[in-house]
Amino acid sequence: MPTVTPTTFTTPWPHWVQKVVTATSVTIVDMPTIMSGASIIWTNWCEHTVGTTGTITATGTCDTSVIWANWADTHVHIMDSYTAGNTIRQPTEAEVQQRLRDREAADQRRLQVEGEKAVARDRATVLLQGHLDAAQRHDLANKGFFDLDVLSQDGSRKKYRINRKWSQNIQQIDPNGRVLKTLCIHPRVQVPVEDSMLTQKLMLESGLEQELLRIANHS
Amino acid sequence: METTLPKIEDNTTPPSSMGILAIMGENGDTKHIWDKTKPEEVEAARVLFNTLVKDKKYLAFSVKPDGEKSTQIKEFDPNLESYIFSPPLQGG
Repeated sequence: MPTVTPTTFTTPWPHWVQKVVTATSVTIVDMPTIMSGASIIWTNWCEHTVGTTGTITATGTCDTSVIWANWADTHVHIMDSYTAGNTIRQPTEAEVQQRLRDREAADQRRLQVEGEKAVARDRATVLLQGHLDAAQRHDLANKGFFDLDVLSQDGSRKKYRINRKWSQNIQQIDPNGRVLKTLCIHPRVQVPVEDSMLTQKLMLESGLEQELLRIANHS
Repeated sequence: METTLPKIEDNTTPPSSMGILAIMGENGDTKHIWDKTKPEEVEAARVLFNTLVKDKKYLAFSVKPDGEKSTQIKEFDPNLESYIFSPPLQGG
């Protein structure tokens, strides 16, 4: 967290430029030059603060998204202070500690969710592999897809390729492997992608091809 | 999914007298087993099947291992060994 000296501003922009330049090593030399990109920052700044009068003179280049993200992440207390009365104060030690605790808790939640997703993917992979033949397992492991020969209701045979991804992952292919059409269909619940693939396989091989084609988006 | 049927862990092979229901969800599938010789467990499996298929519009498949062809099941059959339930689908 950068140190911010308590003070009062009639125009917040120079202060913001000064602090963010320091914080992100971005050189700003001519405000009009960068106005097209920085206007987003400036608009956001104006909308969330008071004391927006003043002449702005600065030039240079900047990655506005980086600056704004950095500013938004580390200078929220400035925004709060402006709203409160145009003064800036350093956060109290209790506030700093609370923010650290909040951030740690968010990190823990993120790690927990990522861990649960990994376990779910592993479980779904085992389930899918248990319902593939040896050639399909080999293709899935080495190419990221497996093929299905489907006997359609009209008696014709079609070949479908099920790729390991969530959307647009089914391809109808000709005997030479050329893609004839791409289909997008998946469970409404965000199941692991391998569960979605297994559902697609089960539908195609159990006589639900027409139902799948009816629901899917075609491209 | 509310049921009195016991769950089993992954990689557990139940006795042949037991049926398995694998229900797909956000955390992967949840497996429940029922004893085909116990009427109360068969009935609990039937209730779970009907809740999923008739109320929640899940697809139910009778499956066999190693890539053998599956079959869509619309009415619960206690003699089948293994079911997989998939949530309703939508176009992407």
